[in-house]
Amino acid sequence: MSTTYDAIRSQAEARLAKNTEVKTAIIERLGLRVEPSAVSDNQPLFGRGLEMDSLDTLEIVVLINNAFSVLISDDDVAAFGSVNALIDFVEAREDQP
Amino acid sequence: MTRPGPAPAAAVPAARTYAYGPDDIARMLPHRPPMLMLDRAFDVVPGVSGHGVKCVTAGDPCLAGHYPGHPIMPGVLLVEAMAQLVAVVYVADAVEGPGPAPDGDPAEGVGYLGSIRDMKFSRLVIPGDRLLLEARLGPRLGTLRQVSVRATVDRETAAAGTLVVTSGRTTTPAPAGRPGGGVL
Repeated sequence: MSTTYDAIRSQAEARLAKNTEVKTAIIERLGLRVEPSAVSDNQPLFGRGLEMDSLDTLEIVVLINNAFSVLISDDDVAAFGSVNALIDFVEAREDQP
Repeated sequence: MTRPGPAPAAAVPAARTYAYGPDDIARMLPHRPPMLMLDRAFDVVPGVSGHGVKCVTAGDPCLAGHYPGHPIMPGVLLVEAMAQLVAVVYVADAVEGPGPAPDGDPAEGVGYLGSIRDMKFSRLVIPGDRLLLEARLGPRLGTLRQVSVRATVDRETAAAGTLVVTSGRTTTPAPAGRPGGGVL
């Protein structure tokens, strides 16, 4: 049981680290005046969330492509829902052969 | 006994390239003097990349005031020249591509400049300089596309950076929560 617990804990920590890494990269690339810790993982990226616009979206496409070699296309706009949605999308694509 | 080497890689066919002179460019772009900043284009791979030339002369209208006695091409016009080359690469895709030719004036399909990023100006551009422009289209989303651009004079970089351009004249902002629309 402890192995399972440790594995789950390890997975959660890795995910948290990846979320923070991506949040930090987005904030730096877009020059946002906000600390990564102030952005929740489920906070909307658009509208009342981080108030990104369509030009920022393309910056995120480039950032994700450079960092994870994952391409976000027009059909994948749900990936921009939040940091969690973005990382879920990346991890799903990374798992594909 | 020697082992056979790997089979030679299949030759990748080179993409067809196009060259455009001033008359072609006048048909492809809506710009006109004094805002036409591209004399000719060559090695254009439609929708992918291209090269262009802009010859800077003492008669260029902008140089009369920028600056009197010390004429240098404004950096914003270097960006404009590179953006016009990008427009040619775009229009070439519509005109030369495998699909049906666009209805009406192809120049009407030229979009807008959305952003300028990491643009560095490394050299003054003065009358007599021959600007060699380069553009390579990058990732896209919706109507937006990122483009890497460079302008050189005698192989020396004058300006280089990244642009975001729109395809077509989209003016409607992307609604909240709908990324990838037009320029806001």
